Amino acid sequence: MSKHARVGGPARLILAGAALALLTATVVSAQERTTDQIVRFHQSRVAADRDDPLAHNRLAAAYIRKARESGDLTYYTLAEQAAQRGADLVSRGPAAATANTLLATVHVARHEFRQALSRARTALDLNPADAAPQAVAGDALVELGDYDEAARTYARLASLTGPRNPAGRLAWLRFLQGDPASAVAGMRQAVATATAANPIGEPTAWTRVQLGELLFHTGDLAGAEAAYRDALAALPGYHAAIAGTARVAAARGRLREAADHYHKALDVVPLPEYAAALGDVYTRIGREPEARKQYALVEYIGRLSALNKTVYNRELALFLADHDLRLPEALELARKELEARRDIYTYDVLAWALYKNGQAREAQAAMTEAQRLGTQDARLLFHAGMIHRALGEHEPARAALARALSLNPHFHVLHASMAAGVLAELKAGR
Amino acid sequence: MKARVVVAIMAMLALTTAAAHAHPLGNFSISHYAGLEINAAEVTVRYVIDMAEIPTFQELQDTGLVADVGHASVKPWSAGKARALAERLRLEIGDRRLPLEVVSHETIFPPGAGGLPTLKLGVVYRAALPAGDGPLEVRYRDENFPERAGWKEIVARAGAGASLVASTAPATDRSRELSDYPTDLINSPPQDLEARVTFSRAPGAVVATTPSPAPPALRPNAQVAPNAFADLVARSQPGVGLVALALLTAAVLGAFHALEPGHGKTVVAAYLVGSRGTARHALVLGLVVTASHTAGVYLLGGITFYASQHVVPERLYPWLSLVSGLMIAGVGLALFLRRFGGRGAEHGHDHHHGHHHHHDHHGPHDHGDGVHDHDHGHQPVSLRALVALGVSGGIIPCPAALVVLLTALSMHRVGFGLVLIVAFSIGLAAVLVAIGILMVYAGRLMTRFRDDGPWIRRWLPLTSSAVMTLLGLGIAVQAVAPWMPR
Repeated sequence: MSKHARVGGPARLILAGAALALLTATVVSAQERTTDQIVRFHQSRVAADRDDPLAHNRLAAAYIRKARESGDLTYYTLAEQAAQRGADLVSRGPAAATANTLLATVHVARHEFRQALSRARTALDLNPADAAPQAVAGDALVELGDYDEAARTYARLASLTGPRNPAGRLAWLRFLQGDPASAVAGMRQAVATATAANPIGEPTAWTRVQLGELLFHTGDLAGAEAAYRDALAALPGYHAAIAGTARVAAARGRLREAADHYHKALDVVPLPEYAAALGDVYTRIGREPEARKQYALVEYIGRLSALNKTVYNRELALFLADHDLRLPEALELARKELEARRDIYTYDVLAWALYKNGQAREAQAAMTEAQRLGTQDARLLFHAGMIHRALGEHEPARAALARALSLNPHFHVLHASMAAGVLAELKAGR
Repeated sequence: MKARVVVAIMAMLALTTAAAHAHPLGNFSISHYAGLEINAAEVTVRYVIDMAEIPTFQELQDTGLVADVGHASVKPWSAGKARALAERLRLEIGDRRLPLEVVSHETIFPPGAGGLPTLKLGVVYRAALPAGDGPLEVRYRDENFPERAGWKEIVARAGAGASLVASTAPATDRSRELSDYPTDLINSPPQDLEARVTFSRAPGAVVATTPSPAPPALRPNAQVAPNAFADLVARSQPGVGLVALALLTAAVLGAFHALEPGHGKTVVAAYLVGSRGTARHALVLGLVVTASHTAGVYLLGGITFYASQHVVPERLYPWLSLVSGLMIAGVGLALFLRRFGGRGAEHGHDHHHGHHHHHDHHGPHDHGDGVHDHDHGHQPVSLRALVALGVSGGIIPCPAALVVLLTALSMHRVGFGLVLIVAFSIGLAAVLVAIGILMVYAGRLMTRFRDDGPWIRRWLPLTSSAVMTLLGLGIAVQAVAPWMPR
């Protein structure tokens, strides 16, 4: 009867509309939008409602993504402002937990690991079911050198999300713990997960770069090169992938190509590690003036970042020690970094700075800390070997250097050949 | 409907809070600014490059430039750089590339972090336009410093003897030629490296040879402490009065809605009159209708809200706003047409049974009456029957309440929307219960009042459906707006 048809009309219309809305949302979610578009979108949400904690949280997340993609640390300031506003707007519940997790993420990016950990723990108190703060807490713990607690945190993360989510994080932990093979396998899984979620964009590109780094550590140059190439396919112009490509080219002895790639990466983001690596490539080619220019750039960035209180203390300490520049300052920077974090790589840089300052005995003690997990990293083993030799411990020196070179015969554009030279000397000296 | 307006006003107030001033860019950024001015004979490009500390250092390193305006190295560097930059600035009409001629240039070194130098180069370029009139499209593309972070702004204006027909670039300058970067949380740096400008020239317009324009007046960056965020926080609290007004409006809207044709109140009235119920029955029935009605709206809102938590919101919201806007407009239009055209046609249904079971098929919410069209008068009043009746009368969300919720939702104010629905329902309940009680004590009077008042019978529904249509279209347009190319 017509009456009943009319009765159903509005209800059907409304339900159909809701279904249509959900359907279109699903269809649209399959499309990719650029980070700038995402940022702009969330800016408009915040503009429409300056009291909406969710909108502020999402804007903060978009800024973090933009910061990671561009390498521009100032986006973290915007992210922090947005997340802080989110945290101010809501003091309990999931939204407050998310705001605190985002603040913790910004702290990690700024290498303020203790603050990161405490923020992440605040987030966990607010919403124990939230996986995201577990991940950030685990990352902060790894940087702080508390590897056991990090492993427990990642295990809790896995129990919340299933094993796929923390695969990439666990991979790095496994690598540090001296198991490169399972680290690579885990990272491949992480790449597959990220790719399935979205084959293009920064998250996938970043994960592929991580795989590239691990493969480079294991001496698989072809694999590393492919991983960087895939990363560039996911995010063209991605500076980390360009720098990785340069590193592989340098390891293969294609030095001019390496220099070109480093220049390209520097054109996008002048990070001190890129300038230092480019300087080393120029040193290797024998183009001293160009090398000096890059080294001067590293020091200049170091000076600026001291002004801005940014994050390059450890990198700068390593750079100075590597190049026998202002060695007391290198040692001071390394000691200062140790106050911020006590992970194996900070101990490694401290050991290297001590060694360069002629304090081999103290260097040995720091190196023991650096090697406490048995990490199979050629750089650590090279440093350990050089310190052993300085102490006259020839057998352990020989073993460490040989191990470094067997892990990755091209681990560093300058140090690999130095390691080979010292190793030959040691063998001859027997 | 007014609640929507109040919400819209609140959103507008939030939008107009002034932009904060802070330097957003890292010390490795390189910013670009291009001011295009098109007159009848030529295109002038005022081009400014602002290098932060690190690129400035690299430039000094690479070229031997000395960061001192008076130094002999500055002029030649500036001239050479102006020419080099022009090579990667493409100004084209059709297939033709217009060569850019350097008119003037200037370089300054404003101190940056820790007194370290930064570099600002301003160049005025000129390109002659082909003769003739009629509209032309000129394309501009800046290929200098690809991928490098920075503020990238293009402005296009018409000069003497020309007028812009269409332009992808704004006519207003946001950064005062890179001297003042107005960014805050919601205004990130523009990233424009391309522009298309269509312009027309007055036929036969002769432009006097313009004197060589001075180089862009270079100014060091405005140094402003980035405490603008606190400012924003202080300003963004919505007034308590505005919230109260919104709640009151929602309640009044609910009350009016109860008076509109349709909804459960006819059931309430008919049932109570037919079954000789008491005031207590009227109260229960009114409340049940209201509760189920609210629940229906909440259910739909809840589904939407849940979806918004699990679907990436920047994808969900515009579509949701679009669809809900179109939906609201559609419902409003359908109602309007039916009410407008239905002056007498549907009165056939408006039959009065012996027990005053009043049907009212003008609105979309007459489902309650429809389902309970059969005779259930003259039966003892049971609580169960009352509840069943109330639920069936109220369960389907009505467009008016949904409009309130969806509006709040489209403005990302879900919580506020839910509170508004409560206020709306309180207004609705008050009137439903009042009608019920009136029916119990003065049924005939009420019936006559409802049936005879032309304002209530015709103009109120017509107006509300028209407003609903317009607001729905407004929401839909607003939803689409962010996707429009800027």
